[in-house]
Amino acid sequence: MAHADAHAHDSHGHDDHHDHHELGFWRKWVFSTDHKVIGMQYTVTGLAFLFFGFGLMMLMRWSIAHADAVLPGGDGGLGGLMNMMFGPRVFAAVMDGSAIKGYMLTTEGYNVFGAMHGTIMVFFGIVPIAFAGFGNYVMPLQIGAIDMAFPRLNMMSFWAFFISCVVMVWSFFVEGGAAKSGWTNYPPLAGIADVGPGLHPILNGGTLWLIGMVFNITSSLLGSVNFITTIVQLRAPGMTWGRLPFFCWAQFITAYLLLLAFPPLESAAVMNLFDRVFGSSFFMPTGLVLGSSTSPLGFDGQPLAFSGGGSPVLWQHLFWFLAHPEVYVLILPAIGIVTEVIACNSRKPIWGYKAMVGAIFVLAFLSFIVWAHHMYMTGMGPKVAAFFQTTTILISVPSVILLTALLLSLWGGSIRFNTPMLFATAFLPMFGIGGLTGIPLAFNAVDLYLHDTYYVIAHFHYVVAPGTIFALFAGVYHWFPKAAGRMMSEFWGKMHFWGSLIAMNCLFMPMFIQGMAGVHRRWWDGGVSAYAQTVEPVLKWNGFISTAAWVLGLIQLIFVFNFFWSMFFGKKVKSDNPWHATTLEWDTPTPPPHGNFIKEIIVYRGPYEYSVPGEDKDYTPQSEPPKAKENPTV
Amino acid sequence: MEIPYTVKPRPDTGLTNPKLGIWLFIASEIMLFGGLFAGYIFMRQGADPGYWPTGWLNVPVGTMNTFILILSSVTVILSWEALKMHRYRAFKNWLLLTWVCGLIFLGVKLSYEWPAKFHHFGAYVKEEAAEKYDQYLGNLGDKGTIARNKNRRFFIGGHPNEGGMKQASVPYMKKELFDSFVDRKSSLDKKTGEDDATYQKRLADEQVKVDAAKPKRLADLGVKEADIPELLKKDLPADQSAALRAKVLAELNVIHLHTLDPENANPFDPDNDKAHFWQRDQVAKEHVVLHKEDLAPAHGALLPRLNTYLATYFMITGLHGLHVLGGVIVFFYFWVTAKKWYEHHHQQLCNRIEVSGLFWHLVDLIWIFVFPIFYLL
Repeated sequence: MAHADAHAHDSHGHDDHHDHHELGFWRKWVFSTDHKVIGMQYTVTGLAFLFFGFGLMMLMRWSIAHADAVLPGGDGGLGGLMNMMFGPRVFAAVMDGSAIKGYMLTTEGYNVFGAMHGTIMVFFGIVPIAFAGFGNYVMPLQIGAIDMAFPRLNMMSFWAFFISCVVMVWSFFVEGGAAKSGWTNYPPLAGIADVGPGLHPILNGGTLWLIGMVFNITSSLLGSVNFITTIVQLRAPGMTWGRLPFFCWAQFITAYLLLLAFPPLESAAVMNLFDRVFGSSFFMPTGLVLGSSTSPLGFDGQPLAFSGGGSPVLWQHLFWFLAHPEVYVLILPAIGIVTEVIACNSRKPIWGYKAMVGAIFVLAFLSFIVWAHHMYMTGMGPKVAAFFQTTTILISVPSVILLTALLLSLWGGSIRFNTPMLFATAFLPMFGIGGLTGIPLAFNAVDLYLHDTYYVIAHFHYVVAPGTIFALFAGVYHWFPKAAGRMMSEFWGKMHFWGSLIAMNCLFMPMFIQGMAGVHRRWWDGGVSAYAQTVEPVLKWNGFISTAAWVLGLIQLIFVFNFFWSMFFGKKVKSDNPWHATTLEWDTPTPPPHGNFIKEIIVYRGPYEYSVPGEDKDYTPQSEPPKAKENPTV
Repeated sequence: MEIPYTVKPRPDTGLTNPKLGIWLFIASEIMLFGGLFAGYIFMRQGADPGYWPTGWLNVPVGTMNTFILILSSVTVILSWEALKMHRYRAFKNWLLLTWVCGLIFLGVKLSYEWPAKFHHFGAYVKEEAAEKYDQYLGNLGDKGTIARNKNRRFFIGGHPNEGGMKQASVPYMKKELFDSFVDRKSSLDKKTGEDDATYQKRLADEQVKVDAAKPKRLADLGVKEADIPELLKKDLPADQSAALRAKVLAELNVIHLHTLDPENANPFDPDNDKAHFWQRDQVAKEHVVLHKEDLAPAHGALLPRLNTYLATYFMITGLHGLHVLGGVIVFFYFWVTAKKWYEHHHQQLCNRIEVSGLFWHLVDLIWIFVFPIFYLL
């Protein structure tokens, strides 16, 4: 490979300037149509939102663990800062006589942060990184394409996403604060929150949430059209479907999920916008009574003046018709990343590649017919519940195929435990815990008890936090050398990994205990004030979990430091293929130029030809031509 | 840097990028409108039996629009065909006809169909006049008392589902009042070309009419409250005063839906102004005529609030209209820039017309579903 690398570097300067000229800063880094820059824009924006969403959660955990204590630092400290940023509705001053003792998250503020934590983490953190970020950067490289099929559409997707980000952040600062009816935005609460005297009829938290979501969804739709077209149309010669790296398969299926599942939510968002802005009744039941004659919000305890006849359950159907496939949107790219990292670092082909591809097809199909298992509490009949229980349990079959295949891929490999591999291997048991604890929730009878408890919180956080986010970290550590031309620090990477692994489990494992004891997920004080007797035996975990959350937050600073430090001072990569991987993204110069490849790419073999017997090295890149037969008989 | 297969199809898939892209986009559009139609089904299912309005929309106009849209779907194919055959003039004319058809469709929607809904529904009792009607509007018996405050004006309007709600308990509009909403112009405005004397005389005449229609209680008509259900029975004994019965029924038929056929209620037809569909089976205890000068029309933004049927109608036809608008803009752009593309990038122009034509067929197809569910069913 050495001579190929040398060739790559030699031809750097003069091979690729004939069809593009140097772009200015704005066109190159801001309004870029290059899929790699757009991928990095998505990733950086998404990472920023992950930290933002995490910060909201850390403040909520203070409220849960120390419901009667002001935020540390008094007037000039954290509480004062938060009060300045989010206003007195969210962080109220606690008076000690005439002096301010400190600031506390209000109950309304707790609802705002709860709703926005969920929204931001799912729609503005993980999806932009896992699908749009990694997908944009890596997928065209892996299939040997020079760019996405529609580069300008790609840029428009990002900017639609960016507008949705601005709208969401802005909504924190309008009168009344951001949306506060949960990330699921259930009506009728979602229809009547943030309306009333003093609030803008349109520019209020709930409505801005919907407007932001419409932009976000539009961005996802444009993106998914682009992804599918690119994978179908722009595969390099020889890149047959059977040679497609599993990461690309995962992105392909994810794009279909987004394409078909998001529009119903968009229609639901439009209906909810109608309800909020024009006062229609799509989700508003007849005779809804709000407030009382003493209510400060102007509602007088009379039935609200709209036509009624709407159905709050309709929103739930449309929402979960998206949001269950959305779960697989969160997890499939992560499994794709993990597959790439495990194959590369166990120096062994993926076990059961075809079974895995089949499994994600089945998974994607089934994910469209399981949505109502989120809605057992709506009082659905036993027959409907039985249908959704059955499909939900069926979906564990492909999930187990994926997990088993990845586990068996480790067997007999000569594993390199570098940072990405640590994250990828940790993904397997963590995702396993998340998946297995979901099985009880699939059953109507059990779910009625566990619904809306911390058990559910722990279950899906095991899937998306130590599951998906670990996979995202694996991806960042794995592809950083390609994007930046420098390695990330292994020492700090390992510190980050072990710290995160321990803190994550300290954070989420006790939630199972609390949940089974009946602690409700929306108690702003962790249940101290109203339910202390019921849940007394498990209340002690509140402080433990919160401490674990703050420790986890601190540990992520290691990652931030490592990321920026390595960008400028990391060890320079010695070749274009530092991990000795087989897929095409390592056939590009480092970092890849606009147009990606400087040699013609023809694919001769499958994606994971590691340790092929008889080869002179333990990896055979997809673009390496087969050797001439030693004894040609013809 | 050229993206491959933007113009020529990729041999093994047989597709160009834009064509695959538009099919995927169409798939997502079908899911979008699928969600909206699901909303329609839920709303219609959720309505009380017999209270989902039918026959409100103008079927002939809707039919005409349907045919215009179908015609434009044909012309866009003819345009594409002419372009393929290098018949430039025919191509341009067919394309022109396509986007003109789209414009006509939008024009009918914007100038006639949508505004008609805004003219016909709903009124407020003006703040300053509210006091006059307090005795009627304020006391709803077992429904409790509506507190009239600065934040909420009395609202008169209707919805099939709102039986238990307070607007439903608010009286109805009389036919005269209703007519005044049919032609939005107030008859009290000075007409163009009308001289002062005629205008003053007409105003005075109006005043006489208004005085004649002062608020009345049923008691003023000599009817006892307890008799009303009896009076409304069709097989009323003959020994009741026929004249009185006729009088009461004439007053009551604007408020009492039970005696009327809700299916045939057509509020858009002043001559067929029988059923005031917003009233449910509730016999008003007080009867009052509202004067139109005391009323302010409720403007468009309030419409979906009145009526879930119309909310669904506006949402689906509105989003469909946005799609039509998008198509019209695209076709207009192609029509204006056709020459350059025809001369230099003929194949690409063919693809563009084909792809936007596919989108246009989708818009047409959606309307094929919209038309029956709103106009016919």
